[in-house]
Amino acid sequence: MSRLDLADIQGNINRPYGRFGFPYSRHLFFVVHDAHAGRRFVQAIRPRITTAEPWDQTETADGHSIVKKPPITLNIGFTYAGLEALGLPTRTLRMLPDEFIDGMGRRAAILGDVGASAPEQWETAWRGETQTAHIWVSLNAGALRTGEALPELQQWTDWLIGLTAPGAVTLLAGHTADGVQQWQDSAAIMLEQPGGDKLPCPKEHFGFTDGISDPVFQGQFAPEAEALAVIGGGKIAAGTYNEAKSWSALETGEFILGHADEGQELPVTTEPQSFARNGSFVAWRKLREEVDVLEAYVAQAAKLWMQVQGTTDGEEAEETVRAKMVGRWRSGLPLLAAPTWADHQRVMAEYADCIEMSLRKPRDDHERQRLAQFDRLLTGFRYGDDLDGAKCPFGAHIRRGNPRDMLDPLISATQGSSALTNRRRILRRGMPYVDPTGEKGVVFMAVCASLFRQFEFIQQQWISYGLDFEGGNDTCPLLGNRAQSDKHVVPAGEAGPNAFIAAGLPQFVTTRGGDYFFLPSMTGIQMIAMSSIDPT
Amino acid sequence: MPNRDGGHYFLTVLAPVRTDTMIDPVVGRTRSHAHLLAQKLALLATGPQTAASPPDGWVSPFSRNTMNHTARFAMIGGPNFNGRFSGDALVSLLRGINPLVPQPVDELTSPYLLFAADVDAQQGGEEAALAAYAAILWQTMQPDLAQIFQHCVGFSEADGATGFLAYLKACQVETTLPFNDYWADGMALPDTQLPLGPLKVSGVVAIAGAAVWLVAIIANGLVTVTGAKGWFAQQIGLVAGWGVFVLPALFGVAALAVWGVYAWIMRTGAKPFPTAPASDLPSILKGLFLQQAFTRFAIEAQGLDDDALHARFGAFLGAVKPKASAPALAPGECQAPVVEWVR
Repeated sequence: MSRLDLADIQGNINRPYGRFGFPYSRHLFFVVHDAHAGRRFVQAIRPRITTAEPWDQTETADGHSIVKKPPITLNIGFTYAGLEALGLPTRTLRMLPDEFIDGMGRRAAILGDVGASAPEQWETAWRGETQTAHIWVSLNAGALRTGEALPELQQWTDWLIGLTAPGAVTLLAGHTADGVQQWQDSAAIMLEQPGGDKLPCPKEHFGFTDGISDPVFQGQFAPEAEALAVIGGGKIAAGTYNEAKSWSALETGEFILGHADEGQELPVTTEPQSFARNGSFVAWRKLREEVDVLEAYVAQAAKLWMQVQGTTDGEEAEETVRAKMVGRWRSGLPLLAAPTWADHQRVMAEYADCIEMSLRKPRDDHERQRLAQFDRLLTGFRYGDDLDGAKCPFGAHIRRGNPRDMLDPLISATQGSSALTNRRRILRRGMPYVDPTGEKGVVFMAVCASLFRQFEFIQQQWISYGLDFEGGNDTCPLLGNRAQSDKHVVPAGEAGPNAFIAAGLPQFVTTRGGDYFFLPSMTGIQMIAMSSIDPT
Repeated sequence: MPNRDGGHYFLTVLAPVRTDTMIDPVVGRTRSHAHLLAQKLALLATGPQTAASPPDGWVSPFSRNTMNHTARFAMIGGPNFNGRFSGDALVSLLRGINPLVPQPVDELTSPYLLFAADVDAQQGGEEAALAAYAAILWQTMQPDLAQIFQHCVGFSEADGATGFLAYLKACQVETTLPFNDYWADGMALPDTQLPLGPLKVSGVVAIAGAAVWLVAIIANGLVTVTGAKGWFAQQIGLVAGWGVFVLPALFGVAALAVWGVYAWIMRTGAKPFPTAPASDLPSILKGLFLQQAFTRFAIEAQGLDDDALHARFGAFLGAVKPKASAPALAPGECQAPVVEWVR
């Protein structure tokens, strides 16, 4: 069991803040015009950075090791252009990974960012015509009972703006479609409770529960928590499958630099090693969701579904079409746990209390156990139980994003390992947004040790291509571009006795901008601020 | 492994590139053959082979025949140098290796042109397959071949088609690991048990003989020490003595049995796979076309009632003509021609 120096690691790497009571997030991007001024800017921010330490509510007698949960969090990331503008040594710069040096825009062909998602179509801030983002600062704030963000969010924003000055460090404006917003906001969708209080819910605008199955790595959790979280989140060992024994945490180096990874090697970083150690990389993407287009498509496909399957229940057809595209029902329940709409209704009725519980903290052990059981239902499945895609189609969104054991050539009903997918996992961090223009979408973040091997591979080979899923050029029915194919094949199964092809899929998700950022450790940030990076 | 396998010929040719210089006819200056050859290869048309290819690209000259599944040219400038052989410093010291003396570095006397191809050879032997391929290549892309191979040692366009075949043979290297993916759905192998019977018998006899001999030697030693005499002692002496001659023979027979099994494995491994069904290029091009057309049909036929489906499928079959060679995918192109049927 490795012990990580969590106080040296930035908090947004191991915590999806949205699920820790921070439903509001604000992303501000800065341009460094002068290296010295840039370093002073970083130095000014440094004390407020949130680390990955566990939060404690109670004080110990000696007053040590107390980290109270803050009302607002702050994290910082740097693009390659940013590190160059901050005056890092050439050797440190040139040894950084190629894809990070390129930046997201130059990787468009690999990422499938073509057509409406092409960088020329991105929002002004991301087009790089005059300026590119150098520094990314993200703020995550809690909410008042009325559903509004805590006042700290605006106070910290004002403080950050106060640190900028022309010719030194400036704010990179040009977010949203009209190009006028100074930063990018995102926030959990709020549900009004009986009594008027508003509570955040883990849904995105298409109506699906998001961010369910995140990878689990060694050192991320305390041992007891890890033992629970690895089922569904970790890796699956070879040999006869046993839910209690087959799962284990992924190697730390898949997500945190400077530690051994699943290939028994240290991730590619740079020199000096101490600059990169305990850091990570993130792909930041603003993804627009065409909610109306999806709704219209589902309604039309559901009619055909009923014709093909000989059914008459319109609601069932719509929900099934959606679930067969995503691999989960909108509630988050996977098709592997509930292959039909009737199964879904039954299971959700059985676990109705858990939906309410999941929006707050469990009150006692009974509730904790019940929630753990529900979580296992949501994440603890394997595709050895669905070898022909009769439950969850091969091309469904979640099967593409995380194929678990399905690529094991020896997979069977009793065994299957995730060895071929262990080096292709990403920590997903993100939240829905509604821009002042009315545009809806998700600010998506993928944290991983190698953007090339993990994020870009998933995006290129699995989301934008179908060969590993016996789907030729088919792309992800939810996220994919339609340049080469616009269909999604649903094999016959319990939910419908006849095979079904969802054809003529419009593009539901468009990339609006983003970039690759390096998330240094606290030590790395200090080295940037002090200009003390020595690669010799 | 033979060059011909599964109804396909896997050709590997390594042709030495000329090291003299020639006048580049375009710029009128001297240039190396390797440079001009690399330039010619870079200009060879590759056509619309992938979705990313320019739509108006010229089709590859290899697509002028219907035998060629894949073809590849590559220049091999020289072997990689992996650095000095090194190891345990103490062992090197004992072996008298002086780290200051440079070790030899492998080099080629000239660059080589690699030509590798995967070609239909559904019937006939290796010789006939290569001859047929060389003939069709010369017939369909002689100018390109002449421009390429003129940079290789010993090639002359004036030698014609027979000269080209002879040249390929002279530079051919046996393909020992072909990428043979034509038995896509697997092939039922005959029940091939290793012929272990003779090895088992001869092995058991040799080991038993060795055990008996060992016992006899020990007993003979005891007999000698104790000075015992008599019939039994005499027999022990005989066994111990004869064992010296008999045991090598027994082990010799066992070794022969081992060699027999080895030879059987090698012989079995060298047998080519039989021709895979419908694995010739025209069948594959037709198959890919049908796959693309049928996907369209399957999409539009969803929800049709039985009568309509029957009629539509009839129209589909009439348009795509599954038994006829056309319509089909054209060689060297990835997009099937669009065929319409009555709706």
